[in-house]
Amino acid sequence: MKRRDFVNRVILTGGALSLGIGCKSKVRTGTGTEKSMPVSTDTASGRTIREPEREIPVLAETDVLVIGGGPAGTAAAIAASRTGAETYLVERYNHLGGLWTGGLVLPLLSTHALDRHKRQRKVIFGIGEEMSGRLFDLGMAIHEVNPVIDPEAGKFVLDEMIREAGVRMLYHSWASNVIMDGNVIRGVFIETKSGRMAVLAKVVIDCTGDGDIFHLAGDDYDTMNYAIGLVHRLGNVDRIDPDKPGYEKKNLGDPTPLKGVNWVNMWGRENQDALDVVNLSNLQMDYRREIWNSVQELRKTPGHEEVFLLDTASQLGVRMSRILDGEYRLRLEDTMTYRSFSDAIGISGAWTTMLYRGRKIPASERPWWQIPYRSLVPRKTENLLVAGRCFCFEKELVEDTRIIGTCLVTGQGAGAAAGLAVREKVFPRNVNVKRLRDLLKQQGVWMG
Amino acid sequence: MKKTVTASDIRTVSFIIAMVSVIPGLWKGFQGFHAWLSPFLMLNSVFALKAIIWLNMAAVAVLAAVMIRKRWFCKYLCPAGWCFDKISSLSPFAGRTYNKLPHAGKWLAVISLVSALFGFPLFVIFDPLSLFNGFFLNLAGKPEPVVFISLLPFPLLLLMHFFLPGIWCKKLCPLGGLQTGLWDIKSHLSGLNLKKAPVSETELPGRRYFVMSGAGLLAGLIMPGILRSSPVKVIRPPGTRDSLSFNTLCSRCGNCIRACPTRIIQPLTVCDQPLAWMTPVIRYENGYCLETCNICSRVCPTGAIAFFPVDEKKHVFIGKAEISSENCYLLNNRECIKCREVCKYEAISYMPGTGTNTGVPVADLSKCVGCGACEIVCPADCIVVRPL
Repeated sequence: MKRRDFVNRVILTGGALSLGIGCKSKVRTGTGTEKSMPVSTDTASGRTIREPEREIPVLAETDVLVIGGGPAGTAAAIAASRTGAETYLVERYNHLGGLWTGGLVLPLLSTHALDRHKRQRKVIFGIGEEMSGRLFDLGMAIHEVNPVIDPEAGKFVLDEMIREAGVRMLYHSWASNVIMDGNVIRGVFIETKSGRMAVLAKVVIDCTGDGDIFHLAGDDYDTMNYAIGLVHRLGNVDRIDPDKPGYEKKNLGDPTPLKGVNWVNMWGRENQDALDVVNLSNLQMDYRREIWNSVQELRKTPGHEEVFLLDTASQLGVRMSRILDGEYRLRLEDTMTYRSFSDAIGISGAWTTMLYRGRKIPASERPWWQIPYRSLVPRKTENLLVAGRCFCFEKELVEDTRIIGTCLVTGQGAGAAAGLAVREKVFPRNVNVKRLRDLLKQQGVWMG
Repeated sequence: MKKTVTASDIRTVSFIIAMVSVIPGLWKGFQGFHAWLSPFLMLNSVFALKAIIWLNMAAVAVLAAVMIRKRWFCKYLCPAGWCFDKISSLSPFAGRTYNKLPHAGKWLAVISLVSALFGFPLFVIFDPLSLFNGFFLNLAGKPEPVVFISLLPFPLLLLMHFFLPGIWCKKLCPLGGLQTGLWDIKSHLSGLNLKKAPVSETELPGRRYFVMSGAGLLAGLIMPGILRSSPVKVIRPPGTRDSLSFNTLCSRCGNCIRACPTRIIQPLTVCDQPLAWMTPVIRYENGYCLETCNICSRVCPTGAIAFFPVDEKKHVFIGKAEISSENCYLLNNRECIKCREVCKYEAISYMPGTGTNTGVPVADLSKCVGCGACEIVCPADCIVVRPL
């Protein structure tokens, strides 16, 4: 009863302040060892309150803990579990695949690139290849190069693979803070329907995409504002009648494996802060309204009457937020020159035209590029690995690092490394890279 | 056995250096350096531009040497002369003399230098080093037949020497003519002072100099009109200040074309512009004008491409980006902000669009120098850089 009173009072004060006061200031990240999550959201007059100390139940003690169930996290969990490590996977929504499935960013970019003999070839193998292979088997993927998948089939396949790998799944759980012992991460607090809980782990893999975990652990990073979009799908696009008087061609997005269903991308507003919850909330509402209006507009166009809004993505299409300051920063030059790393954990492809040394390198002529293990290792925190769009690279590379294929590759690399670190009882930083590469090759990764 | 280094040995070394220096992309700032040694090019450039840069000092030094020893340059340095002499030595007609022919080279030099005073040097293209360097344009870029044909004068001259040995150096070369002329004047002056030399050697054909100077003057006055009648609308290399005098100031040596690291400078081969034939123009196909490069302005021996420091690149305008946004990816919500990403001058921004659209790109022409990065990177071919 007393606690509820207190919470109510805080909410009331906060509400009153945010209503009445125009002057706002940025909140400093929390003092002491604990950092508060929202780092850039405007709060009422910069006011803070102290959270009372409390005992948190430990849900599990495990070998590997993967935070975030996007493409990187799913691949990491499967890879870690296959090395024999007990693995927990924490996901805030109700499905795996992140932006690939729930975010409706359906193409698996970029599966192909030029090899050293200037031939176009497939470069993404390993767990990513297994995923797309299963989806092809189900008839739920189209296009040989950069396959486009069906999101629900994707969620199903990823669930099945997690089950088969023996990963312990924690859905509806949001990692809210880290448990640190000096500069060694020991586990993560999660917020769940069952309340706040702790999961202790020998190795934690940050697959949050936004780098929440390395931020909370106190590692260094860059931030990058980028456009944020919201993808939606249209149904009945096969029932458009182009012979209707007044018909005009409209942008209907791109086909998906389902007949009559298209996915429609949104570039969205520029220069958005993806770490500002108020901003994200506003964008979400604005985008939903805009999509609704644009589809209504579409339905009024002669010939398009039967087209309908099938769904909007379950999460905003955040392209970039934090970029880790890791042991090695992958450079544009590395990706243009077939740079070989002795600690490469995999190869990814390229899908956009780039300028390199003043010359144009068309997407179709881009070489494959290796990702070194060091780019996944933070500089300060021990027992932590980073995979997904926030690993360490130059900003020029953002188009190629933020995509599904790269996330799958870095995820598998981090997962296998975590498993190996647990098995060999070393910090992930000190994992024997030769054995790591052998392990990844056994798991089907192509190293060039 | 005593070895002596003869003039011809030095010239062989000079020839080898000249051959190495025309390999495209090699030696960076020393691309085609021999053109800097030509006093003929230097005087034309200085007369036309009324400006001198430190690299001109190489030719000034040569000029001084030429005043001390007759045709010193030809004997010690000229790579073209080396080639011609090699062919001439194979000729069955060795020892031919051309006493009846007028010394055309001398008059070409006089006409060119006088017209240069008006900003339009007429015959820089006949400089032997330009001919020599220019021929190796074939090494740069795509082998186009039209370029090859345009570069035939040098091989044709070589062939000519098989039948008419030594004709270029003796009679036709304006650089040789310049040296001879200067030597004549010098010995005439010293003859006047000393009253020693025989009259036949010291007499200057003053009337001819006068006539030829008149011809140069006339040309200098008429050229601008002719050039203005067919204005050239092309994108020139950065630092090209005056499109009108460019066509005559450019010696077609091809240094800039071979030096360009992104290979965007190419010879102009458009039939309706004969006066600009083979001058360097920029074509954005696979490269753009690097923000960190001024190499073309560093290798141009005549100052047709005026030197500029790299720091000034953002003020060196060569064109302007024209964006037609009908096909722009952003209009269709496809993933692309390449044009803004690659623009090193922050000239491209996105107009606020309606609804969820980001809006289409627009170029700020006060910042856009026309480097072409956006043109080549645009996946929808929306951007074209137009001449100023």
